[in-house]
Amino acid sequence: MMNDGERVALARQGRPEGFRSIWEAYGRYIHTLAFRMLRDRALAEDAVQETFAAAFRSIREFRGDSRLKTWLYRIAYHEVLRVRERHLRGGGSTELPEDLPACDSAHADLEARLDVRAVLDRLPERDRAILIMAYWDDLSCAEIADVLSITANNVKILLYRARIKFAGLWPRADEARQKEVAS
Amino acid sequence: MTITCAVFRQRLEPTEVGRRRPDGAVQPEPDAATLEHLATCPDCLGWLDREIATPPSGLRPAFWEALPTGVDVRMPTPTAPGSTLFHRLSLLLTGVAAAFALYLLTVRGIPQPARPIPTPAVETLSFLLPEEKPGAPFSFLEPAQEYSFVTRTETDDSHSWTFLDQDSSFSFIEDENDKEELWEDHSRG
Repeated sequence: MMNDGERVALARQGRPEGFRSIWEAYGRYIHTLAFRMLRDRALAEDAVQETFAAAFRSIREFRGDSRLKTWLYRIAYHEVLRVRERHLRGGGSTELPEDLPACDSAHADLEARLDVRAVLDRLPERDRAILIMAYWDDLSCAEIADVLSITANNVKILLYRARIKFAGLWPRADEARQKEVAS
Repeated sequence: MTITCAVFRQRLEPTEVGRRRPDGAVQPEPDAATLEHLATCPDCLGWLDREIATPPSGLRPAFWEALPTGVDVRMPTPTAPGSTLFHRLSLLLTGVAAAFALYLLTVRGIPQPARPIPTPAVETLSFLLPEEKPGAPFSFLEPAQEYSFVTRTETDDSHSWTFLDQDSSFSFIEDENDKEELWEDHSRG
């Protein structure tokens, strides 16, 4: 199992196994981020392709100042915005498409997931991205700051606001609160 | 401008809750005073860190939706580093070639296109001999009487004359093989 340093070193030499390893390690993370932000399978795939194409093209510029994952997220975040902008310019709907994921969970879980999706859809792009990166991808505030090209303290404030927005829109907020109180 | 902790926490409240912006626009960034307070107030920093440490209610990891099944995004062909290397190498070679060309231009001057050696219009200016004719268009610093054979070569932008004494003129005329070289030397000055 390679570490990031080895992956990057191989890729910088143009070795296929280096690129393959980067793809295998982070392809799904990036795909998940793109899908959660774009909510469309085809658009997400475009963003993933363009993210890795750009990353492979500029792998020599990765100096290791940040984690490889953060570096890829930064590229992905901008590619996602670009794909969405291109989609809108091309006459795409401003409404996010309903590309429902297959789900074999219990009905209640599915409902909850759809609620989460509905709430996330109502949040601004950057708030959604910050919530995903902070609570699903476990990126630190410093890493999110690196991705978004802002300061870590700024990320904390934006994350705080995004949490409040999400909570205010969460339809089961009362129910969840009651459960917390009861427990 | 410094602000109090109460003002700081008040400023953190979102102002556009729930407004959806597909264009990615967001509410105004925290202003300088807010960021300055956060950077200098350990209490507020600690409080904020605690607030954001856990996901909001409802955003539990179990509720994150899964990726659609059957997704198989293929890895893009990593042509980049090779092509980047090739591209950079090409740029480097081009730069070196350009620098060398510039060096040559600087040191040697701009090369002129090869001009054909003018075919000398050889004529004996007998009218100059033994003395210049009055009214002739040319005059010479040295007395023309010393020369028995005068030739003139005319190019696009110059005229040149060759003065040969009696012996040289005979030699010149007799040695046909050297004639062209002789004229070439004369024409190049």
